[in-house]
Amino acid sequence: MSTSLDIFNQVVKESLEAYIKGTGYSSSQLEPVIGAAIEEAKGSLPSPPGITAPRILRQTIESRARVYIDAVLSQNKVWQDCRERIKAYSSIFLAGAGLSYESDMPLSNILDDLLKFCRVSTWDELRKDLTKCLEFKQQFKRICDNKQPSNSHRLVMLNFPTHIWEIICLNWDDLFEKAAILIGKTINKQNEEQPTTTERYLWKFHGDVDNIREDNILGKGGWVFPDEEGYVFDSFKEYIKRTEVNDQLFTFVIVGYNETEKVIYDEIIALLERIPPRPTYRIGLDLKSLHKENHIVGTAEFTLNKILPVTR
Amino acid sequence: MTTSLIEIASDVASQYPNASPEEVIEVIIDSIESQTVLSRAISYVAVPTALQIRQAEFRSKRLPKQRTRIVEHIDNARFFKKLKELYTLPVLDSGLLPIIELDGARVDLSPSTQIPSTAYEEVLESSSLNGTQLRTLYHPEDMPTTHSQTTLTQESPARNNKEIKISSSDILMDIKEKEDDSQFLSLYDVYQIINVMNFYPVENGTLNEISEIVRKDINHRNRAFKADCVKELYGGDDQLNEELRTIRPRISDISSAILEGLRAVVLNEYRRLHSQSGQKFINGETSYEYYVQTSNTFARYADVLFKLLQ
Repeated sequence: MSTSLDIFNQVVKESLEAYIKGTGYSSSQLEPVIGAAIEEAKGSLPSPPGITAPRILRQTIESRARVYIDAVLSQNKVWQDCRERIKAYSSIFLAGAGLSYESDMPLSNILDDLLKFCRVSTWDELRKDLTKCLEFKQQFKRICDNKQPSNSHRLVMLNFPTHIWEIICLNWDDLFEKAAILIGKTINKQNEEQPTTTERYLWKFHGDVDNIREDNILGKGGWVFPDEEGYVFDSFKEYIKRTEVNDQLFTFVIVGYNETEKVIYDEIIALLERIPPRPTYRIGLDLKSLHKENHIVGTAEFTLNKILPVTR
Repeated sequence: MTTSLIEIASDVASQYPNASPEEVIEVIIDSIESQTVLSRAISYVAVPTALQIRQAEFRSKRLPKQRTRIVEHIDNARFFKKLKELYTLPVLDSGLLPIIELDGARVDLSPSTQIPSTAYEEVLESSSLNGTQLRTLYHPEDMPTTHSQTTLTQESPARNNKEIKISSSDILMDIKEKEDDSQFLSLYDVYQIINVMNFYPVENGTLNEISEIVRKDINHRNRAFKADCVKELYGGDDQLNEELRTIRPRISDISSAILEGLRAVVLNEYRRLHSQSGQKFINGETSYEYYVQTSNTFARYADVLFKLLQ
């Protein structure tokens, strides 16, 4: 079949909504999960020649998406464990691109369009040409200005700083900041290397649309692009020591992040998860992780509603 | 024989009034060589039973002068027997899943090397015969010697002979027995029914029998799943382009009604199997990879059956 599988989206979605009625949830509660389930289903179809009868192809997407939804809803115990731990010891959150996905930011095709718009074809070219790099950031900021924070951003902010001590955000967007404004909360933000004067921050190691400079020096407002290995502020490491955060028991929650950046993994994740060992939960869309210890499969919004103590 | 061939030639010529004699001959030869005609012809041929072959072998020992001729006969008989099985029943080359025919092409549903073989066993488990029995049925000589399988082999060669079902009534009787036990028709049962319809001389009585089997299974499913299986076959089609809709036949005869019913059965059974496989993954009994491979196998199987039922 030459047509994109997206042609089945609506009919499969309606069928799933009818199915969800029987689960005790409303389809609006599971709206983002339905979308994720359909995408996951389309991604795991038999390889070519695969299935060619349209009715069986549609049924395969529908059946697989149902299993995804059932799998997400089967995680009651892990939600409860995570929620209890966050309530008991509080938490530190590390948020990756998956969190902003629900606000449609930044979709990879948008980044591709932006690169082309700035007349470069690689991230390396962009880094080397400061004028184009600046243009890229300004264009990105313009796109962000039109975006609204998702319910996930709002939920995280509602729990900060009581149940979430620190937020490490690896995204350039300002959706957490917007969510804070919407709920009337003031937040301390560290978007470049500078001494910390207080406690409980939103950390933005990889750049911030609120901090655009003509140069691109890491730690001094420079942006880390997707082909890099990540960056962590020295001021963060000092802060961890000064506040003795690392000597305390807390729950570490990684949401919407694929953990591919070596520096972030070595200097943040490995440290907070293992030295000393702490309860660590990973929230993502990948169904393969369903039975991995302390992995939670599902969209950020749906899962955060289940694991965060404050939801309204 | 000559009279029959003349009748055939005259029939073909009347169907192709503008064809030259050479073209008529070509049509006849192509038809004779086609899978369907060969299958049907071979299905009529009587082959010696295992007992008769063993008796011949015994005779060959007692009659050394005729030994070569008898052995040659036995080899031919064995070859023909194999050929008959090959043409009239699904073949388990992999020892696990049947190879089935689609548009003259052999569709091998056997596992690739990466796929755990047990995934395919599940397809078979859902049929009236389990994997071991099917292997015994089609390849008794290739039986591995695990304990349970040895037991089966030891039960007697006669049992194997008894299990080789080559008549449509035997096949349908088996399916009906399952149905009477309140079991759903499996995808394999549907395949058997397709074979009965394609490869055996089907009379009205047989069609009525099949129609009753299908009707009963659909009613059983409708009750069990609080569904309307036939309606589900076309559900949501109104939102799709024409080429993606399920072709709705004009139910002009019993065969069309059976085909539609069987498509409904295939869709419902596929959904049921997929759901079972997914539940095992969710319960932690199987891995994600296993679930995907198993459900993809079901999907391929349903896909091929669906096309056979068009």
